[in-house]
Amino acid sequence: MAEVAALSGLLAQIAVLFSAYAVIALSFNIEFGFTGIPNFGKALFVALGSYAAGSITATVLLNQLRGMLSEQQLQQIAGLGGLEAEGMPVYCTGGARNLLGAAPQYIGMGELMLLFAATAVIAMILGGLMGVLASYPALRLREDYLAITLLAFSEIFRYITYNSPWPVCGNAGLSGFPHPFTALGLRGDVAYAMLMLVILVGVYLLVDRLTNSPWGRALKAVRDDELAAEVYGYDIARVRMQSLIIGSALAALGGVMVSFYSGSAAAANYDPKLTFDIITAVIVGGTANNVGAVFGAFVIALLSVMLNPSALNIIGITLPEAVARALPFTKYVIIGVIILLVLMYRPQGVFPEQPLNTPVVRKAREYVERALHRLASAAGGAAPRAAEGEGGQG
Amino acid sequence: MPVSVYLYGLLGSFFDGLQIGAIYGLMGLGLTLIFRVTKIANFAYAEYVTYAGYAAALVAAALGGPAAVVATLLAAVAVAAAVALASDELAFKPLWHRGATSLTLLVASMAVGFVLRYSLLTVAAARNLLELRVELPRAVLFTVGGIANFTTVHLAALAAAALITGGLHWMFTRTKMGKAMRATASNPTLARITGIDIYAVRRLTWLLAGGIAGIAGLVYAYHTYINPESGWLMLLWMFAAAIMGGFTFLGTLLSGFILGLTEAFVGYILSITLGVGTEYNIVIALVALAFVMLFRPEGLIRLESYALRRRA
Repeated sequence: MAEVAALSGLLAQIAVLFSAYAVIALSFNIEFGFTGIPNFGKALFVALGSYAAGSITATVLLNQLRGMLSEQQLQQIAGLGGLEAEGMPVYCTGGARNLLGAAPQYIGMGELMLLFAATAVIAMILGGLMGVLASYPALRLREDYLAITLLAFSEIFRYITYNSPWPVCGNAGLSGFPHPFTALGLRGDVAYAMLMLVILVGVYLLVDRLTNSPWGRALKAVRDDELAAEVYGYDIARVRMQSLIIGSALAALGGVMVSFYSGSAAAANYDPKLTFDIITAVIVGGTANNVGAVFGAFVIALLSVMLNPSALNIIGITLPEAVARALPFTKYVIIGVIILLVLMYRPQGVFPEQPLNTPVVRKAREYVERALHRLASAAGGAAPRAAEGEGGQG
Repeated sequence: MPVSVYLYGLLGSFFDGLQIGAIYGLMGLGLTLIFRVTKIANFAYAEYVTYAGYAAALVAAALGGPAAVVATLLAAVAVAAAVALASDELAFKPLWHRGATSLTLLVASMAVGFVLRYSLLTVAAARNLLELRVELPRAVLFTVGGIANFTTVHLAALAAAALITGGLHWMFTRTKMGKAMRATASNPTLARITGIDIYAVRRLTWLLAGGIAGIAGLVYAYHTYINPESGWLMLLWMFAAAIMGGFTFLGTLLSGFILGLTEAFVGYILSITLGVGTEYNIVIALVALAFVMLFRPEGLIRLESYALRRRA
């Protein structure tokens, strides 16, 4: 039985990481794939969501517990860690961590679920606002400079939050807050993973809808030729800002998803490595293809979880000591090699960008095909074979 | 405390600011050279510095005596130049042939950087080599009031930065090879038609840039302890110096000094007045980079264009 439990825990971990990465990759795909904005500060927006999730949840839960329990009970649960905080948030104390750990015993699943939903919404709003800020450089700089600038922004944000006790306890990180189903133990983790997959499906449908709408075609127009898009009446600044707002809000949602599972929000986790994971997912999967982004996220999530001696142990692989110690470091060697190979031999990714497929384009293609067919029969079988692709790039 | 202590402290932060500024500038020079000639914002450059630091530290630890200085220098330069050339031949040149955009090359350079850094980390973790320093003799050359010291490390950083910057500037503006590099940068096809061997120019560029990274890595590992991620942690400063300098050599060095001195002075003043720790120092350079990018992306300093215009 223990094996089944370990295996389902592992699967839950993969599912959660995959869902969160997929949501972030879809958001990066909107910005990078469809609009052509290299938002290499992705880690910042994810971190923002994670910080919002952690600090709001911890504050609300502590306040609720304060209202429900007597002073004596509080002190008893808090234990030696205490609840005295000087120059830092109360939820950073050791006592607060104990209290947060005990919270699911006193606070119902429904309420925790509500809290999860509320923090997700707040995080997305914060992410969207940050996206407005990020659109300021995005309108002024050319691609590679923009990438470096946004990367610098995300590093500034990380350094400040890593060194300051606000909002997430500096280098120690805020930890120990529960997800909605923590009370159920392992089954709760699996349930949480299911919830994440449901959210992923919702986000995927939303993003797919958006990118196949006239708005999505506006994004591609801005990416392919700014001048032409402007001539056709698109407000480029507006389109780019909208793309960044939606992308950043979804990235913040990804941060919420991943940080509730680990119960922690720590600045140390949101460095450029995370951004690089997402870039890899989108480029390997295929830029401007939503299926590709999800596929790439799955590959990355699988690599992240499985390149770990304990995870390999669960599926029955035991490694020698030296290999086991070095194994976690090999993840980025593998990812780096993958991305170089993809860039060289399949730059369009595993799932290349699809040509437009709106009703008008479909009609036009059918019309052209019919006309060619008529022509071919009129010419007596000497059919021209170049019927494909006509009207494909409407 | 008497005022003079603060003055000595200020002088000390001036020395340290000069030193770290020279290191920023020195590291930025190779980045500038690569960007000037091949138009790659090369994130993997940080790894050449790290590799050089490791090579230098290992050789210095293995050898002793006066020969160690020369051997260390050679090892650092050779390793970094080899890694730089290999990364171009195996990754950047094939991509460039396939018509990769500057952003694709940037992503590729991040990938190369990850491969190099984590290979080193894998080996270093297995061999317990996660903290290294170049153990060459260190000495205080002169001191002011026993507080502000000028050491051999200061001298090495400043001398290396000044010599290499001067050399590169001279090469780029006064020699045939510099002219060939500029021609290759502005239009490879035209350069090729006029008889320039652009592949030789490219190879030389990467070897030179790698060599500069080698010296920078040696100086940095002489200055402080390094680990496999040190170069990466310095990368945004290198970019800050190079971009503020408008990707020119003199500009890069000057921007390095500006960054280093600002960090040292602001850090010192904040720490004695507000008691703020030095951990926020690093934010200063990044904020400077962000501001330059937003408001003057062509760089602050444009000395080289004057030098070229005067000779034209």
